[in-house]
Amino acid sequence: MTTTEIQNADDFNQFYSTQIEPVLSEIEQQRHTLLNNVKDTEIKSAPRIHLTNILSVIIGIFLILTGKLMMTLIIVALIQIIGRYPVLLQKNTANRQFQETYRQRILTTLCQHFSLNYNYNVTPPFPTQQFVDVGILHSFNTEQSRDLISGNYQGISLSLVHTKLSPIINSRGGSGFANLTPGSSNILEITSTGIHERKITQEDIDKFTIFTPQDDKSENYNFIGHLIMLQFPKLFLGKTIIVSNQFKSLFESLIAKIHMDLSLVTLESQEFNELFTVYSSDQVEARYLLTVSFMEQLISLTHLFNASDFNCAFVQGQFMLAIPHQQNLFEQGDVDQSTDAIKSKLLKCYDNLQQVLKIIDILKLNQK
Amino acid sequence: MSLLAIIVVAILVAAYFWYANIIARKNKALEALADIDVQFKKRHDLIPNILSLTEKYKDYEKDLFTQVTELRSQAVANNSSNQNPGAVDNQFAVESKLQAGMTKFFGVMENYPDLKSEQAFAQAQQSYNEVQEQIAAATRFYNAAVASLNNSIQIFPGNLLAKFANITALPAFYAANQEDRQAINANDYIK
Repeated sequence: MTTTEIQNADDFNQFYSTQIEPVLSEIEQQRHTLLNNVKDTEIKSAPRIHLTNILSVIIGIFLILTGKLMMTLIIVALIQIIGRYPVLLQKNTANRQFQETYRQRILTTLCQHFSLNYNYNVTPPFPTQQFVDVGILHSFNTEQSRDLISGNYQGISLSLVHTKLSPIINSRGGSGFANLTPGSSNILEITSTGIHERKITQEDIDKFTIFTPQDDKSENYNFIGHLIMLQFPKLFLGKTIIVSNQFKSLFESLIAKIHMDLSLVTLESQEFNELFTVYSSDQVEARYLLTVSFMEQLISLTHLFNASDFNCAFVQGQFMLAIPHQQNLFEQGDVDQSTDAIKSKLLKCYDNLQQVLKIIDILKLNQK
Repeated sequence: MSLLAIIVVAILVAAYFWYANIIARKNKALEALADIDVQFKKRHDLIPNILSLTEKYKDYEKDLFTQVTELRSQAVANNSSNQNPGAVDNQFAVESKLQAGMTKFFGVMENYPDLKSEQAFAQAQQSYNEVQEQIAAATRFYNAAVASLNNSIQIFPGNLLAKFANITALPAFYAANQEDRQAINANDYIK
């Protein structure tokens, strides 16, 4: 454990004992009531569950003997679901109620600790379109955002949200690029020597049509993760875009289409260059913003989110960061978890929020 | 005969592209040098304001004021558009001394609590720090461009083409004083 981690743990323990524990003891009563309701339903449903188990075994043996294995699995699963339905329903209701209370009470307290506001429902809407306009996110059709954290931290306006974006569907059922054929259109590409125009290839089309939505599975969204926007009082004159090397080729065409004036910036940090590629309209401003400590913080964010595939941009006084992350950082889990598990999840939330705020501390643009 | 002609043409074409690449890198380095110059000029313009804000302490810190004023005058005199490596190196040396002098100046001014509480001085100091950060950013750009240029003209056949085009290596800029960069003798501090 590093000194900073120990300091963080100490800060968190103090915050937890003074601010969270009183709230937690209040909602603990409700949690126990909800858990008792689940247990009551389980007890009441016990004969029914036993009966479904016996029925499953009898029907299962009968169907196996007749050689219909697939049908056996389907029918047994159906019987089990019907038998356990009241318990599942009760548990689902309890989880939902616990999560709502947790969000309203605990996450609100956590955000207040950092002088921020918390809203489960994202109103007013988060300016996701601006991320698209800059070129660090694809165009999207629908947006599902929740857990909006906003406020003013050291004079900087901060907004953080967890969002799911579904791609634009055309009449062929694919994303907008699916209508293209090789050579049918020109695209712009940034290389180390400048911006070049060339014909679109099948490879480009494949890259842009990797997500073909069919149902609500996570792979059918073109982005799931956290969006962070910081608004600084000072305008940057140029544009600086930091693209993950994992998506470099995917984003190059997008960025080149939007920003013709960008050129490649080669920075000193080998570790940073292995993870990211930087384009900017102003070489000096790019280095003014991307200090060594800021580069280190972006690298540490890749470890924190366990993802190196995120993109960010400095444009018109705003810093935008799009971090793909399947799991919502502020997810709190089920009603039947232990108090220790709740505490450890909250510690993670606390750390995550602190790391995001550290971006402001490191950039120090509020002091300039 | 025709094969020889093809080889000669290929060598000439390759040499041309190599030469064009060196020129592009040289221009980028000069552009970066111009960026540093702009930031140096901002610093030169700011120093008289800082000195005038602290004028009432001039009698107590006469040597320091004289030193900073002289260093600034030297830096302004050296801040020309001369792209000769020797002149550039000299300019960087003077600017490094000026930076060290200003760091010392602000350090000494810390001893005057009245001055520290003055908003105008605090703002001037903040502006100076801002310019310092801009200089640091411009320096990073310049050093990257110079490293790229120097690599291209020191590696064969770039060295031959550079000699032909009369292009010489430019010095990198390290803001810290040479004295600061020397190894620390612990005995100086343990008494």
